[in-house]
Amino acid sequence: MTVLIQRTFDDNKVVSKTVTTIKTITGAVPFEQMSILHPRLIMEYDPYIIGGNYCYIPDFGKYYYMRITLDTGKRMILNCDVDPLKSWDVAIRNCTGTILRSESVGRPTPIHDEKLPIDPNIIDVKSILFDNKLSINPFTSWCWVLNVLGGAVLSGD
Amino acid sequence: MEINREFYDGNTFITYDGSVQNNLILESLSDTLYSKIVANSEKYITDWDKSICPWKINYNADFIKAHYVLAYNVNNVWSVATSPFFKERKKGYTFYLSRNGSNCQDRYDRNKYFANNCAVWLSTLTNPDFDITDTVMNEWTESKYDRLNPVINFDYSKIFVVPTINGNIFNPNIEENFDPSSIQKIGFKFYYKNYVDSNIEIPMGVVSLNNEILKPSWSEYNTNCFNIDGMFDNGLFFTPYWVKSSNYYNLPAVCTRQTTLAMPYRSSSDFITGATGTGFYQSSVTGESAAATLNYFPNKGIYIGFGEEIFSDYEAYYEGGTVGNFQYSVRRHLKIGTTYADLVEYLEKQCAYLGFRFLIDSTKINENINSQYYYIPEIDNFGVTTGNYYAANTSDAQNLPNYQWSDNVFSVTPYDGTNDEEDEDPNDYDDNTTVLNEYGNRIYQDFTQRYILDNVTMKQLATYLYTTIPAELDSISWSPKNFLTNNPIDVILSLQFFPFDVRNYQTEEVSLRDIYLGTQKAEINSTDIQGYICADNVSIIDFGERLYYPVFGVDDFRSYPPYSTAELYLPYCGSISLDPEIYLNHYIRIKYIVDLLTGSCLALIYRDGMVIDSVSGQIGITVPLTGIQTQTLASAQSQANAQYKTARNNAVMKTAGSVGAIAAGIGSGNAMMIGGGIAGLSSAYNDIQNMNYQLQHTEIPFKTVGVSTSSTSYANEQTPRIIIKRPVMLPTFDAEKYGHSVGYATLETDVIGNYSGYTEITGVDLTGISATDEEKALIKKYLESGVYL
Repeated sequence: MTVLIQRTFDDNKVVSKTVTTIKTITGAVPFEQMSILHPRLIMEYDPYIIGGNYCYIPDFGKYYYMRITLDTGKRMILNCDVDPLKSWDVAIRNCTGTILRSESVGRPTPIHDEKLPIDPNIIDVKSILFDNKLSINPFTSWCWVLNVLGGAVLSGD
Repeated sequence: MEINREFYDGNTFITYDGSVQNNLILESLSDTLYSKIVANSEKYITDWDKSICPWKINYNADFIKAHYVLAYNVNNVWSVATSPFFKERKKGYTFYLSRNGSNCQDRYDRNKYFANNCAVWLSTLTNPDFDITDTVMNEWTESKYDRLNPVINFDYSKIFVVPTINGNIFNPNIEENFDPSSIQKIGFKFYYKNYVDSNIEIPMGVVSLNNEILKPSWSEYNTNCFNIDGMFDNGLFFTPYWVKSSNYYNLPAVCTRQTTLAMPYRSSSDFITGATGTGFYQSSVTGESAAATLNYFPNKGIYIGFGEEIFSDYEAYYEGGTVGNFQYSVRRHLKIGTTYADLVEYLEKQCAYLGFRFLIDSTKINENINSQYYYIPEIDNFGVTTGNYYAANTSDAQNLPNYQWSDNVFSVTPYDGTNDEEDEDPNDYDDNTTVLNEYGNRIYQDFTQRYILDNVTMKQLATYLYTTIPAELDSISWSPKNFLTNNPIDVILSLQFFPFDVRNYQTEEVSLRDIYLGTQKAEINSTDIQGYICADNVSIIDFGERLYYPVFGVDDFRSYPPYSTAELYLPYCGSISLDPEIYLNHYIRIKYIVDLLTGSCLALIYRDGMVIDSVSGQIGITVPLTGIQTQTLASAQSQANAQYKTARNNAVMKTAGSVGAIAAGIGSGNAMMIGGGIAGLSSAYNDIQNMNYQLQHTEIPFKTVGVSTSSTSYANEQTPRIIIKRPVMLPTFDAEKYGHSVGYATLETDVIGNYSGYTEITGVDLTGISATDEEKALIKKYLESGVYL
């Protein structure tokens, strides 16, 4: 079975991981009856693949996280767990879903974000004065209004 | 949509974000040229804002890959102009963007390329007379200036194309009366004058790209048109690439035709020749024919359709044509090697460059215009079409500024968030402007009179009241005769102090008059006491307006409660809360309506032009004139306080009972009891609030000097003030790192591939992926917990 032994430095959360193929091996065989999603392959010892943490198996068309263990016969056992993100990255990108959080929106949105680190103790207070104000000198201004009965008729208004 | 720009101030010129200019350098025009531009343009444009933007572009690159669609609003008419035709120009050429796209140079030079320009007008208004009188010309330009504004309301039903060359040769008129129910072409009429000079270009739009087959243009190119007198109703058609033939220049084109164009082609080797018929460029073809039409749907977009897909696997050529009854010698054909797919792509590009929404599959014409069958052209933030287009159901399309340009012509109407039932909203909404009663300041009363006094006059009046009148009271009949009462002071209804010069808030000029009390003229030692007669019952005080600026933006949750709040302090009325949801990013205006009789006031709080809130208060300070008044006031005050205390006592009792009820409810698990207890608390609270309200509003009408709220308010700040409280981010907050770490909250349902970086997704539909159940479960788990796309 052909296995592309690879190395990736990306986090498991990265959908399209960047991988570097270290070596392509062809002599790996199933260690036991196994699942395609979690295959265990056995192969002869090969020091060049020790640094690998990722692999691609063309026969299955899937990418795997990989751990290498040695058996007592100094053979290498490749313990693989499928990486569904990398294996289906293109298809995933074409799917529709409800985006709850996104880096690419770039800034807070109208949606309440409880994770946003708002200072719980400080509030910025600003004030804006209007242009006009009530301003008089009460000693010189005509600011009293006298309401009386009767004056209108006699004063002619 | 924003355009970076600065107004030309006579010294410096516009600043433009050069990031999309592709080596175009904008420089200032010379003062001479600028003055001519202004002088000439003012004839047409009367309503300018500060975005006047005369441009001069120095082309200083090896190749220009840009064109400009400029839109602006004149007299509420949105117009669009395109930039000059840039086509593989060498360094050193200079262009001026035209004012309304109508006056740029588009004469061609046989040895050089030509720059043309045009405008698409979206108006039913009479067009300005394109009279080119600007004598400042150089080899390439007749310049006007442009007014840049983004297109925000594209009314397709009013679109028509303006030919712009040679000023008064054409008199474009509007195609009106579109029938929205039928498929129509983009229509426009040309009224050709009797004589049309030779070598006439009718540019309908321009664009330039660096790829030959993708050189779309709106240009129409008529030649040798003589004595055409008539009207042509033309549809807008696209032809593929024109090749240079004879001494004419290769121009990609949008053709106008009176009838549907039968697109010439050849099947494999036979050229098609012998165009016949009337109208522009109508040709007859041999062999199979197919219509390449762009049918126009008012308010809808453009539909590209082919009668049959006969271009598949064949090359298409086009040659010959007629204009009216006159042969013309332009020969054109499709670029050799053009395939059907090329042609379709080309036409799609044309639509995109023109800024039209379009569909390709005619069978989908009744689909929702926001469905995947419709495509939306990309128009960047500078109003420039890029030639790219996206299916309308994608986020790329929905993020475009022109996404909202569509409307509902067809039966399938996109849900707009309103009631989708067939019943129409019967309300006739106004323009959100509050209009005060123009007669509200006048209530004529012949039984009363109001005088405006100052301190001196008031002292004279007091002297009169307490010296002159008592001297007359020796006669028993004197007081009833003059005042209809035994107590002369009873004719004084009120004496109010206002914190403003009342004379300045009268709608008419006021004048001094003798003061009368009853029938008695007030005078001291034979000197009349005079005051200003009030012209109005009320005064209106305008405090101006302020913008409630959205520091975080209107689309940021931090701008709204509970994170951001706002209060408004109103002198003599107290403080109220302002709802950021209502006032954010709006102008807040404050006006007071003051009752000069009672001293009460009503503060009107405007959002832009409409009153949203109002608060009552007491601005006038009442001076008690008699002991009876004071006694009445004290009694009312005492009574209100007693009611308040009673209410508080009742509230305490109710609260205690409620707590007991809640305790009992919890102990017994009786939900009804718990509910009843809470209701009791609520009731008690409401009682206190109600009595508080009653007390405050009992006090208000009885203000007295020294103890009244009005008096203390008079000592307080006399200017309205907005107090805004906003959240503060922790000092360690880093927006970029935060976004990469946990992402920003969104709630959008979309294609996952439209996002990048850290993303959390729920409700993902994995239909169509042939992964195993376990893999799908893993994928969903990863997506929900967050992935990096």
